[in-house]
Amino acid sequence: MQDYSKKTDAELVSLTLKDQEVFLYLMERYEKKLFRYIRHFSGVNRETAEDILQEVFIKIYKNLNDFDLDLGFSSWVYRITHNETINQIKKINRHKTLPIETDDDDVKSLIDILESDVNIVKDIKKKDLQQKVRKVLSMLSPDFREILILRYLDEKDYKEISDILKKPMGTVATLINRAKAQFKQIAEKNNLIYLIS
Amino acid sequence: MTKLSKSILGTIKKNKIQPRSRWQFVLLHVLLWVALATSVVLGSLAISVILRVITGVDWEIVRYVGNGAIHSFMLVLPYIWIAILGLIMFLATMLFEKTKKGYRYSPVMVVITSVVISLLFGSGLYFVGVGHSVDTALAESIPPYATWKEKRDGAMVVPDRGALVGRIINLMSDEQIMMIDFKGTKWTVDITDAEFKDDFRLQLRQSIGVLGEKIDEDEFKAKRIMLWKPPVRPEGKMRPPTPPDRFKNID
Repeated sequence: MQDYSKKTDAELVSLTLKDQEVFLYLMERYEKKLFRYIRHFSGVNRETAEDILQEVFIKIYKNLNDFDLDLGFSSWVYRITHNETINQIKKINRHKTLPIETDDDDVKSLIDILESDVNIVKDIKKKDLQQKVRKVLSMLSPDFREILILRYLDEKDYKEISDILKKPMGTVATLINRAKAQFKQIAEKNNLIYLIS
Repeated sequence: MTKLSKSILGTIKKNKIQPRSRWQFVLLHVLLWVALATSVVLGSLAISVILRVITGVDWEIVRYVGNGAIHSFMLVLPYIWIAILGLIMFLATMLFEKTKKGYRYSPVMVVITSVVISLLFGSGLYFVGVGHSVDTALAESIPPYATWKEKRDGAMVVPDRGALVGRIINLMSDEQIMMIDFKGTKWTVDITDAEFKDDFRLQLRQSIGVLGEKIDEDEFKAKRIMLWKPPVRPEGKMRPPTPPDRFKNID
């Protein structure tokens, strides 16, 4: 039995094209990350996220021959997931009313990162804080929400985000700044943060 | 292995889903680049025709008719070609963004690059006479295009202010010619004392510009005559001047 865990993504792609079964290892590598990304980004429930993920993996499998080594497999699969999630959201036409689905851990990490950019009220209870951050995220416009998720929850760098969203890096930087600004604005209204004059 | 991954692989097997062949993707990318190259070529052609139209007019008449430099320039601009060029540039930008790495470049940079490339190629095509050939071929094969050109040139027909632009329809004598202006009025033009801007020979169906004085509703006295849209390369279609042979009926 071959040990696929040490193989790179690109090697697994080549092997999958020869042996369908190897695709299982690729799916396993990305299943959790993509599942989490779909839920964060779209706010769909678990079942719908699984349906979307199935479509995503089938699309990835069909298009394996189009995978560009220069791009990086991770960025490529995230791009397919991004497009497929948007398509599915359009189909169910719920993108404006979807609540944000985040785990407490995710919310905590987002708070930690954003703390450097915004000033979070210190005496707020942790549970309240998490709820408020979740609320703020759900109130962000979908583009801003997605870019904050990619940057802070999925920890993608600017180049990866540029490859996933197919936008120039300058635009990505601008979007992240605007997303943070919108986050701050909404958070202020919800008494989550205060401004230092 | 997770249950979901196994289930997805099961679906792939059950539905006999196969990866698309590499050649299909290669073909798509090749087609995309061919379309992009085509749009650059078309953009260059549009630029060469625009240059041809702008340089083809006689600016002495344009300045005479226009109210100031800007108005004169606006009179000459070929708006249809500029719109076509804009459309082609838009298409080229869209196509470039669809290429594998096109999204990495700022749209503004893509548009600027696309315009610069078209300007370079378009100028080259103009200097070798392609703009003139395309403009002439279109006018000869598409009547509405010829009509549009004449209508546009009709803006230069202001006999009350002493300017006529049109085609020679009859070389009556050494002293008179008959021309039809680009608004459709026939004129008998007295050329006895006319000065020719560039030495050239009057020919039937030739487009000329005349500065002078309106004598009557269909009579005009020419003071200065010039070619309207001379060929890009004067040594090409137009022969050198031969004063005694100035008037020649080519029919």
